[in-house]
Amino acid sequence: MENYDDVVLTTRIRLARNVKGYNFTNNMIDKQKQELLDYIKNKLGSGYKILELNNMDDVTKKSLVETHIISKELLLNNNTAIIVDDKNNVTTMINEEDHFRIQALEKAFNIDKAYENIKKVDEDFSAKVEYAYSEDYGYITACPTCLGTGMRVSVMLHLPALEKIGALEKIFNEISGLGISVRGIYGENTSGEGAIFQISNQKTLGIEENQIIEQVKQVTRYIVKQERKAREILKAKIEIKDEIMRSLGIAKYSILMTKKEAMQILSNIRLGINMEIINEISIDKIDNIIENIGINTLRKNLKDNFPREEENIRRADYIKNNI
Amino acid sequence: MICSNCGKNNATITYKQNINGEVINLNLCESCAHKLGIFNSFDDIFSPMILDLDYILPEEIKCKKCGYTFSKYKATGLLGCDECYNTFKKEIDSILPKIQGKNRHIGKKTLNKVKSNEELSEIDKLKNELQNLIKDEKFEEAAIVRDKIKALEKKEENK
Repeated sequence: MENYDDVVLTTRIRLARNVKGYNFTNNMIDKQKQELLDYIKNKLGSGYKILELNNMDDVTKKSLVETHIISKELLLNNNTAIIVDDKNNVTTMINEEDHFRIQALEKAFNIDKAYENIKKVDEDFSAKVEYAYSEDYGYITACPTCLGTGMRVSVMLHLPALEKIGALEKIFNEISGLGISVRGIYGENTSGEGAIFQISNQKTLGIEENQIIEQVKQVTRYIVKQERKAREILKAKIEIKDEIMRSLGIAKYSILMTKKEAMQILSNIRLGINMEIINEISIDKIDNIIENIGINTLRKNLKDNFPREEENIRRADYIKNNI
Repeated sequence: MICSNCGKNNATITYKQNINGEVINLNLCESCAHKLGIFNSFDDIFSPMILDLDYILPEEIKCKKCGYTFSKYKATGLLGCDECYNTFKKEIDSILPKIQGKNRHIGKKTLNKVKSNEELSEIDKLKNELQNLIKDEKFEEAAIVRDKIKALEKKEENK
């Protein structure tokens, strides 16, 4: 697949599946959810690493949300679990909106690889647990917006240049007409912190899996092209170069840093690297920092459950030490 | 006048309720009035009465498996179980084009390997046999096997 590392951060595919015979999660009491969880554990057998969230500490759980391994909605339910498949980069949430939310995550623009991986896991589950499925509606989901394929393909995009030239709204309007929705970095109802946006297919029914993949690929290609064009335009501007270098200065020397500021600074640095204004830092390094600056992820990585008042000090330290 | 609750008996009691200006007039037979707790004794008339409108309005269809109603879907955006899609098929088929553009699945089919009880493997065996018999143009025998498959599949469905 094309190299879009300058714009695409990650690719993910999600499949919504339910177990035949059980009510949907929203229509079960905790005891029933636990029964379903035990049933799944029993059926899948020992080959899977299944971690119940009830047994997990708060910092770990919230860090999983910050690093996009699980959704924040999963924390709203009791009797939930995740199935971790390191080999395939697939994590499955149990008892989210649907019984199974299988997610494949890949770095950069890698839809085919993610699909290959998720298909393996999905087929293995379907051999062990009978899914709710109908000829008319395909995979049955709690919400009709996920029905059919149950598949959502998302690409996380870094669009600082389009944001700076004020072209984002126009482009997002254009692509929403193509059946693609746009969200901020932390999923539904979030804004694009650090110029990071997630695009995904709106429709899941009456469309084949490979058509969805093709649709998301095409729109990604289009946006990447536009973002690159915008970066070319910005290259000539001394003010942009100044803004980027100032951001690097802040990252290296500041004492306090909020999450929001950090995202903005790191976004500028990432842009600077791609525009060859900054040469001494790698994209991987920046992406890794962006992934790990949530308060709970900082706590977890530092192995120190520091109080909230120290958050901005710790974050500034972390960025300074890792850039 | 016919009772507006059961629709069978003659209505002998007129019941008027006014909650925040919303007036409800009901004509009920004695038995329904008692059943709904509207008229038991004079004490009841002077005690606050809460009328559960579910009793009065034509009863909403409930999913026979999970008891979910379509108004619950309208409130939450979520259905209650897989059977809801059959119970509310008409409603769902009419809203799907709005949210999905289409209302039928054309994507990947589930593998359904799970139905791996003995009967299904029996069905598979018979299906293979059927294919062979058709290939060999042994249609009479094929018809017998086909009926056997049908019978087993029906049994499977009724489980």
